[in-house]
Amino acid sequence: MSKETKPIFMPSVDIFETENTYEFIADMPGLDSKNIQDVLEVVLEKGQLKLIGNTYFQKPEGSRNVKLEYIEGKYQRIFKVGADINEDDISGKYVDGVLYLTLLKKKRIVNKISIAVE
Amino acid sequence: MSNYLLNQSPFFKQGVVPSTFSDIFENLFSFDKESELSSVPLCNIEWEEDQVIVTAELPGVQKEDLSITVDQKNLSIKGERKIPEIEGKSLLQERYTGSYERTISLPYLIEDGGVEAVLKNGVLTIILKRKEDSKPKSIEVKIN
Repeated sequence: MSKETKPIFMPSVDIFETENTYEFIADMPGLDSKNIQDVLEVVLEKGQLKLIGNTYFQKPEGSRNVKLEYIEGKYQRIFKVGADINEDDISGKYVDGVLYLTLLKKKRIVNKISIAVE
Repeated sequence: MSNYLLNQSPFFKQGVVPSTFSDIFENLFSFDKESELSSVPLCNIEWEEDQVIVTAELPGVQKEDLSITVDQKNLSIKGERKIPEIEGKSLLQERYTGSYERTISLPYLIEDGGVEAVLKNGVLTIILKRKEDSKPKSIEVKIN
């Protein structure tokens, strides 16, 4: 079993609610966009939304003169989501180090009941 | 009945986390990346005898909204991140919006036109070449 040694970062997230969707915006700079399928995992199932991403970081080679304020690591955040989200339909894009996700609301079925007046 | 009330919000209310969602991991096993919460971006700096490489995390910043200047031995990075243009109700707002600014002292003077910058995947990389006449010179000293 491999031992996970990478530090875990919690990405900052904004959430907006529109009429038909929930919009997630997560700061995840440093993911390799050319191999985004390999480094970013977004899972929406069983009432949870999981965001997991591995940062790409080119370590300086041979230099002793280095000052590091951020390091290679793993973004990870898990949200519980409610029953009004359609887990089968999620779309997203990764642009300029930011992950944008759109979660669709389930369509509400409204049963109109006619009331008879006697 | 109580479950029904909880389900009114798509992001369950629980504990001390913001009222519109529940975040399982909260702060366990993680440490803050301050750049995402403040106006000062985190930078990595590597310097050799002939060049300095600076990288800065600037997720969501467009290159049009970014300014890089070098004045003597000072590198200045200024940027702005705009509020997302989404017409909807804000349920959670953790991401910083507004101006970024960082000034870094360089170890030596930089060659005119010797600065290259690339903004990719929310990370800004700046390579600054050392000014030729500021490089250390080897002088042969005769010892009598």
